Amino acid sequence: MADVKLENIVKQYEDVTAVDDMNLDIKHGEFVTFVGPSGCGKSTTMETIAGLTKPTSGTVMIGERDVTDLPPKDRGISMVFQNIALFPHMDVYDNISFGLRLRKYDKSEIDRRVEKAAEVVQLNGMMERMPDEMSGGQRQRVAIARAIVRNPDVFLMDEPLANLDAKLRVHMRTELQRLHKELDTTIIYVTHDQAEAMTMSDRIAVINAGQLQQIDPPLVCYNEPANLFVAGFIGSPSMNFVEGEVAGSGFTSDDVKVSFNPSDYNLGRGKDVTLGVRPEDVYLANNSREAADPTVPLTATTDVLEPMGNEIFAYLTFDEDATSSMTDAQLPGQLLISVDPDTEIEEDQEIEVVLDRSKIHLFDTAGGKALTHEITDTGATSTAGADAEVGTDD
Amino acid sequence: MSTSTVAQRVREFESKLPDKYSDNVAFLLVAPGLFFFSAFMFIPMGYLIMMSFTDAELSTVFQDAPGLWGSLFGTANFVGLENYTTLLADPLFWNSIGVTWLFVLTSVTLKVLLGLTVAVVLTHSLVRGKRFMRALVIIPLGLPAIFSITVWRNVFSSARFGLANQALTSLGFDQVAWLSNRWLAFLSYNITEMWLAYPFMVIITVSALQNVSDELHDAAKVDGAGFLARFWHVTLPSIKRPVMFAAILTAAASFQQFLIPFIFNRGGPARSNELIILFGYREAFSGRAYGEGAAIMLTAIFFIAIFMVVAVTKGKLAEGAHET
Repeated sequence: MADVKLENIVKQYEDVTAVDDMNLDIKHGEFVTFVGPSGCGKSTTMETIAGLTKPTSGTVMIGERDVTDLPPKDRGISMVFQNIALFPHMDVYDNISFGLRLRKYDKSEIDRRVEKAAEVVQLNGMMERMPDEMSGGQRQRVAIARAIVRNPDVFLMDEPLANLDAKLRVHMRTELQRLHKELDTTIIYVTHDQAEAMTMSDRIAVINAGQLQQIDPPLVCYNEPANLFVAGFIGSPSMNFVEGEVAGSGFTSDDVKVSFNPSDYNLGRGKDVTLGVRPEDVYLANNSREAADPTVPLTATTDVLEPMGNEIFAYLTFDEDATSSMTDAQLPGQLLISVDPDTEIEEDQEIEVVLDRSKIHLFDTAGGKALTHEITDTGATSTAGADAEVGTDD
Repeated sequence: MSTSTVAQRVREFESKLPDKYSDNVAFLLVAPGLFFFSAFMFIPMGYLIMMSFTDAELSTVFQDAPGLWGSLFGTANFVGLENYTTLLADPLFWNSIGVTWLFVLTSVTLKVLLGLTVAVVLTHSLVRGKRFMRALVIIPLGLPAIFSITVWRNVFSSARFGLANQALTSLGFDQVAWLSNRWLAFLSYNITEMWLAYPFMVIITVSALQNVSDELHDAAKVDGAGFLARFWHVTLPSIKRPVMFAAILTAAASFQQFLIPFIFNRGGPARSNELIILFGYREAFSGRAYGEGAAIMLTAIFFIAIFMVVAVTKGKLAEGAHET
């Protein structure tokens, strides 16, 4: 069994803290993805697991062993790198068997294992090829074969698909999932691409500024983000945020008002909160039946349209009188929505939209922490008037 | 006019020329450069080749004589391949060729090893003040060779004050007559040549080492390779090409080494360490046999040319040179 445990890992470079008190508990056989923007410390975290970087403090456990001070080769791990890192002067066979040859395995045992690994990644018959005679995808397969040939307990992958073209990347994504099923080992995967993280992982660890923000299954990260950062990072296009405050009747900002009973969520009046809603949870008012629990319509003006084929992304602004009333240099509030591709919609058109109350998130503006992931209608059903307070504010 | 492009000006120039020249305007434009190039390269080479087929000596070649031949070679006679046959039958020549190749082999090996060692130290992450030390390393390159060689000549002085002998005696050994023993003299040539050429090797090797991928090292570490295994399997293959290129260039320099044996002990003792250029120089200028000297130099060029062709093709250094 190879559980991976990080306890209070800190990695400090001169004046930068790359990893800040990281605690992780990864179970045997799990596919866990570290995701976050560039420079967030996800690769450094992986390197401390691999043993390529020594943490400033903290403990790395693989299985039951404390491996913090062990070199990479004694940790029972193998790794696939972003730039593939095949030895350019060795053919496929020599690349795959490199680790086994260093460990002085029997020639027959090496042959058997290399053949098996090559079979898993479908590289049979290419043993004599040199890396520069292969395509990017084939090279990546060799790198994966090199990693699996040693039967590692833990498989580390540092952005292995980042250098492949888009089509191949999608293909390799499914290959990796198949591989995970076949091998039944722990896989830790680093990426900055949240789509990769969503599609492959059992759990996603969202990292920002060296700190773990949330570790949960992909859909939990998507539907119940722990804080503003996770909410904004997971999902493409990202969630809409509207800053406002808690009033007696619910959420209020310049452009958006949503009514609820603040005491249901332990919110004091005047607290600064940020409302978050995903583009697909905003509906055109004439389709408001599709929303599970629609708010009353907001009036807005379409700005830019992005037809994607299967949907249209529409950027809405709330200041329809922007041209006449822009005396104060205030940026108009903006909302991105996703609508059906056959909707008749034009740029600079005044439309009405509703939000799905059951999909509205509220965050503490100051700390970023999530306060709720849906707004339920306690009391609002009895007093229809309160519900009607949602609207634009000119 | 001032805004006209080169192409426009060439076209104007072309239109003013008679037809038979305008077709060759490109040639006309390079002709002046070509003239000077050939005046200083091809004509002396051709003259040298011709001279190697004559018995030209100091006393004959500058004599007045009639005709084109006379104005070029004076009263010297055309002797065909005689210079070459005497040369190839001369045991001194074969000794010189042998010792020259041995010198190329040993000095290049030493230069590459020293260059590699210094370069690895100067790029290692644990070493402090790398930039400063890299600047220091280049100093020998800035000194005139004749100066360094003269200093080294005194280091290997057979007298007691010679630095090499002082080092030996301080370590408890007897002092040595460095330049009177064939192989000790040969060793001192090698050490001096190593000193002269290692900055070049270090510069090339350091820049090659800086291009070795960290990720490859990481991959090898994960696969279980220690420092030596990584040096052998990752570092060396990555720097092989540039280091080989530098080694071939510096081999040519070793092959043509003249100053070291000349200043140390005239290729001695007893002509045993006469490198090929020194041998040719001696024959041509001490013996005043210009014809024979020319034959020696051409033979030397023949050997170094073969070496270069083999090195470049076997080392695949010309790869990519034909790509556009």
